[in-house]
Amino acid sequence: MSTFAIQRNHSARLASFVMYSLCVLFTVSILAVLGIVVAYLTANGWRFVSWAFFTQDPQPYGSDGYPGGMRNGLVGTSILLGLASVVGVPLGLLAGIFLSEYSSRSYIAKPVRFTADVLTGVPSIVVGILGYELLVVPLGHFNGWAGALALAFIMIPIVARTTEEMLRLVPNSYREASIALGATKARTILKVILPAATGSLITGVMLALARVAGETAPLLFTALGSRLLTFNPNYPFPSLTKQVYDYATGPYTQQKEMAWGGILVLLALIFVFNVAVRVTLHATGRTTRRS
Amino acid sequence: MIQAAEDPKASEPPTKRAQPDAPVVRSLNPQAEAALHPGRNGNSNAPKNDTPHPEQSGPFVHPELAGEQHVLHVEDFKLYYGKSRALHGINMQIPVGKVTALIGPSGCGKSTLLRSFNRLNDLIENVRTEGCIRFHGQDIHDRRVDVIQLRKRMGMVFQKSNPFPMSIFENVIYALRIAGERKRGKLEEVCEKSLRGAALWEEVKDRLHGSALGLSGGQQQRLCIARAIAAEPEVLLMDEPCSALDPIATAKVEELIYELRGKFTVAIVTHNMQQAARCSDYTAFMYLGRLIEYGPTNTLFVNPHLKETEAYVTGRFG
Amino acid sequence: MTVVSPPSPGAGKPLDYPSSSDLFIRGRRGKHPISLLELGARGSGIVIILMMTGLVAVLGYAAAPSLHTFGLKFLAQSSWRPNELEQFKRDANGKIVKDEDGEPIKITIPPAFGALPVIYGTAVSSALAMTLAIPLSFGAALFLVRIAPRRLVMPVSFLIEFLAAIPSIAYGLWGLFVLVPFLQRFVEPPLNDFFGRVPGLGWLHSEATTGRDMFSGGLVLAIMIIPIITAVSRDVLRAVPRIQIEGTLALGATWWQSSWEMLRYSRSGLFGAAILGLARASGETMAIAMVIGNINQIRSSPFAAAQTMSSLLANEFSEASSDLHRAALLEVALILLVMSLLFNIAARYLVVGRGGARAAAGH
Repeated sequence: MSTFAIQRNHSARLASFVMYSLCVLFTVSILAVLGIVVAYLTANGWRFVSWAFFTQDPQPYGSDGYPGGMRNGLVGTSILLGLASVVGVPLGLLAGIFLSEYSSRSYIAKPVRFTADVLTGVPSIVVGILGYELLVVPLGHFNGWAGALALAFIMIPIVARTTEEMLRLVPNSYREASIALGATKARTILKVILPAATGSLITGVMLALARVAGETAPLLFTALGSRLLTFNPNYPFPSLTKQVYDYATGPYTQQKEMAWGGILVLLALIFVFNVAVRVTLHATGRTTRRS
Repeated sequence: MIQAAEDPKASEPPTKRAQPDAPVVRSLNPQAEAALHPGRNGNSNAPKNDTPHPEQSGPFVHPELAGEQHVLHVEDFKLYYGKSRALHGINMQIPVGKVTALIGPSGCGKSTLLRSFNRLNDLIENVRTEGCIRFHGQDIHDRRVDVIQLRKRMGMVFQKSNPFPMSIFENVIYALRIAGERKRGKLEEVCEKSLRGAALWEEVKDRLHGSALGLSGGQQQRLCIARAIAAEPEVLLMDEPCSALDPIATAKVEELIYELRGKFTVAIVTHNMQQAARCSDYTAFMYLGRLIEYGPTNTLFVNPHLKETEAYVTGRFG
Repeated sequence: MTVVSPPSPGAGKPLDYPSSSDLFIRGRRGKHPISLLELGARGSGIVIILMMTGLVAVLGYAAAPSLHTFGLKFLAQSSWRPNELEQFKRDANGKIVKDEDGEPIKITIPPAFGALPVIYGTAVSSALAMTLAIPLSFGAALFLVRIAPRRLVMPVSFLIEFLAAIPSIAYGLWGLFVLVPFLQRFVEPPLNDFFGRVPGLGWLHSEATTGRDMFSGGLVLAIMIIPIITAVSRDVLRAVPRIQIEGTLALGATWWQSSWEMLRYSRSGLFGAAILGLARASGETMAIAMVIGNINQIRSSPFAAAQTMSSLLANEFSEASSDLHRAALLEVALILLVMSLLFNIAARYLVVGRGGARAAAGH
């Protein structure tokens, strides 16, 4: 009888050991593969990012300045992000304020939260088609506005949900104290809640910006891309990601190399934003606990 | 009716304190405090009225209260959290310029009642009320009532100190800021006056523009009191203001409450009976969402009318 | 006994208060006018709902012609021919049929659109990705929750979250220039040979291996969704009450037995995490378009090029040759949208309230 128990114990222990090792192995291999990806992206990108990369526009194959740089893409992406933020950030922040502060007696709060969650999961290429139908078809040609709209569409639910999360971290006692002093709800939010959460709100917005800065699919049929430096969103508009895609899938070696450089710039941006978010969340977590 | 003066205990001086290590503070009701002294049997010889259970009879309100002028009238006030009733028809008044303590075991509804005075329970979902609370004769649940104005006239201090994450100065003058006051001189004057009123001025006058979160717990709570009185409210609602403080900070806050008497009408919720005895004029004992007994603090502690009250103040339950 | 009396005038100590109540009475209704902030906030909440309804409505409206023309057959048709095709007419023996003048007779084959190949491509590439990603992700999540020393949890979590934030075009670039050549040179030929020689596995064999195929697509997708599934399932596992684990350990369970209990306890949350990964994998565009080969065909071999719904859209939408072609693409987009909505709704229901909601919202 006891032998049986011991044997069972043995096999259970062996199984446990195997699974334990597998978990470690899986983690290590995931980190290894992802490490390889990041290493390639940085190492390759580093080789091909030069001063000209930031200061020159692309030159066609065979011309003097070939291959030029990606200034137009960098400027284009910045403008697209700016335009998208003009719409997306206020709407997202307000929707986040609604979800966190005005949701208590609202029938639509739960549907809104759920919809925002589901919207963050909509394939971005589908959003691009929406932008095409809404702004490209009526205008008759591809344009920057449609690209900005598609990016704003992706931003809004992300900003809304992160804003809600951040505002919920603000202790309720602030709200009570302010209301008890005779402040209106709006004043409480503007004077106490938002200032208390400013840092985390900014990082939340930055996170959303980082996310849409890397989007390519929604720009394919909206902004389309352009080889020229332009500030006019009425026409096909350049973007870093679309240019990387074109270069990567195109035939020319030096353009492929530039694609690596473009990706590195994007990665650097995203990395900085992610670190900022970590640091801010850490700091807010501390102060909320203390007060 | 038993008068406090007729009770032999009432004439005894407070020889010893309940907590020898607690800092010495002035007491409004030394006899009442002494009656709380552990080891002393409060009901040894006091005759008790064998009244029926208060649920049937309603609260016992001592006649002294009828002689006061009241600022708040609570009339058959009921409050529900969803389907469960937390307050079962409260009838009481808060006298002007006096300190009224609400005592009772946890969950008896004293905080809920206090938060009803400035309609702070409006913030909580699923809260429903019946009956009425009158402030200067006006039902505060009337739909014409501007709840903002109501709250401006009732300051509130919370269980946990909750200064805003701003400077000390900005905290104190918050009520003026939201009222649109811009004159620097006026703001500074009110700030100093309120901080002095809260006995905090000397400690913080050199760092008014430093963060309020850098203050100690006791200082933060006094800052919250300063913030509440800066709005010049008529009524100061205090929800267990000392429960998170150490004895020394508690003593300072109690001292402050003592000094606020007369300038403000104070309603204070406390679970600390020594505190109620030390700094209140009137005490209301609540139990299970009902007002049980309400009268002068001295009488209530030394010679309570009802058995339930006596059982609670002598620490036999709760 | 009960004394509830109104204040007797003149009694007690009078205080100099403004006793009038009109100070806090306001107009006919005491309500403050709704603030701009509240108006904006509520409006923005509604905007989010409008965005969703608008998305579905616009896509539905735009795909209507195709829905009307093809009906449900669209889902089952396997040919995708955007342009008319002119062919020589052939007889039963494969000979070109000629007319009286000796000229070969031409026939026009009308355009045809069927979504089956892309649905197949999406399904198989996602399935491949899930098969690889799920065990790895759950293993890593268990590692983070139960094995990793405190000092390691933060950096590893950060790394995984950063990887989840890397845009798909970056993975695509890496896949195209690093993974594809590697697979083409070292992995696919021997595997393909193996499939060709072993009886019973012939269906996995492909005539040629190009590297840009279903296999690469599945691999890249797996790499992309691992961080997401890991992050969400880590949060789900972390939400398992300690008592649950301690209880099993106290009964003498081994590490794996108690971990198994943990996985079982949070199975619906983990399922949600997996579906979230599936939703991302099936909607993924750029990376897959760069490595899958982009040919509308149904092949059983993983080493044959394929096409997914999203890669089809990326490749053809901006250059659609006719209105019908565009409408057909829009119908593919509609299918993609509906599918992703279903996946996401299912995932949120399963994950929300199990600790993973936060991570799920972030991605």
